[in-house]
Amino acid sequence: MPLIIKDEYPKKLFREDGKRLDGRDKHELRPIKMEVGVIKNADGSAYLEWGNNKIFAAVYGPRDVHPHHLAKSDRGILRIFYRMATYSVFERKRPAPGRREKEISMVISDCLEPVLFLELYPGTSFEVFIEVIDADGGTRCAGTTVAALALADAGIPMRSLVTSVALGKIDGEIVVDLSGIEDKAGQADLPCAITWFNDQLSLLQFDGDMTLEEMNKCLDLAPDILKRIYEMQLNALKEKYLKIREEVNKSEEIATEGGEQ
Amino acid sequence: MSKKSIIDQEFVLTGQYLGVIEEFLPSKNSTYIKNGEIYASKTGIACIDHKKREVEIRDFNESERKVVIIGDIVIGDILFVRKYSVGILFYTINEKMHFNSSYMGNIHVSEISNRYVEKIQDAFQITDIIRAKVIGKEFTEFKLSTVGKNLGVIHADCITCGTSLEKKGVDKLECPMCGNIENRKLSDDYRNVKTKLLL
Repeated sequence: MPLIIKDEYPKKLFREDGKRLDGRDKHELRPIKMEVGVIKNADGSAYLEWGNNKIFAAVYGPRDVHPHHLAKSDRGILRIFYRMATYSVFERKRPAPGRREKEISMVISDCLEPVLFLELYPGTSFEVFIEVIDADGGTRCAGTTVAALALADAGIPMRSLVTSVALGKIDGEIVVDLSGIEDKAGQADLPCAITWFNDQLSLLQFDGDMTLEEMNKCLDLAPDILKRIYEMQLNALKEKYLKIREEVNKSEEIATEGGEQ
Repeated sequence: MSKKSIIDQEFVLTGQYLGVIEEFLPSKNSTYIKNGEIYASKTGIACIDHKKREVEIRDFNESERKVVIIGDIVIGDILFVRKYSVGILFYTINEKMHFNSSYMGNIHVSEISNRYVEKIQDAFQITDIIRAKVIGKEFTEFKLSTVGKNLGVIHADCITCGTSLEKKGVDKLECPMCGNIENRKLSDDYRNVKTKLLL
């Protein structure tokens, strides 16, 4: 008979001083670090550290579709490959893409499609590879955020960026950006994504139990939180250009100095 | 609500407001229109052409571009010869190879040369490698042209024995093995191409 060990979670998800287990306030995000242009061989790439999550995203495209029968003659297709590394979770994860990964890939692809001009590229594909190196709750939100950033870095025409964050309910309180343990032991989880060109939700999933008022409260709270992450995304894109500009200025300075001598 | 229009050489981010459609003509590949306002669909430097009143966003990835636009010089090989046109498969855009994506092109008999070409076989044969210019797009196939000095066949094999042909006079080739003489529309650097190609 297989031995079943139940995961043990702490009974209380709030500390005595009213803060969460990792010392955050209710509406505080985990520390986020973003970078673009990290993978040289890809057309566009991005790296995201969101708390303990570490995620790479690489974009190829527009290019030929393989297998060719997936190609559409009137528009391009967007293919997302969300994969988790075997060492990304506590127990070894089987490397083959499972049901969960396929579903998350589909969800992210549906979420990103409205911002792309796929009709401009008939017969081609855009491929986004999202590699989760380290996972600690909210990887689908982090994956969506980093995939949008990598697409923008690849120079693919987009209406706007997409930002995603998870809201939820733990111990009867509404909180923002659930970590791994809060996700499992908490009461509800509500990942949502926004497309900024029309300020509409592009992804809304829900599991757990929550009243309608609480859900409305969550959705009222979401835009402010998403705006904060959006600013970080824009800064990451800007930083790459500032870096290139600095390099160009430096090389020009060297060239002019050499000319004077 | 008053939004500021951009100025020339300004850095813009994806989704940023650029101006209204009365101000500029938006370029299709880097901007889009929503409710009569122009927004950026790329991150890069905004370039305003004051003569054409056109706004365009350029990024540093220009040399890595894989999308063919009109005016590009491409190198490809001839896949098939039809009655009045030839089909071309090309991987090279502006002397840069892209192995992951190939494109189909088509040259009509009227776009081969300035001179009169009676039959396609007088200008091209299957497996010739040619340099051509993109002049248009029809669905997924690009219209190409080889009118010009630098455009045309840059490498050709003999149709009977398969040896590489040598140049003999204007648009004439001779086989060093069997002495077969063939006609092609040659580029001025036939078999003397400076760009590195895997032939």
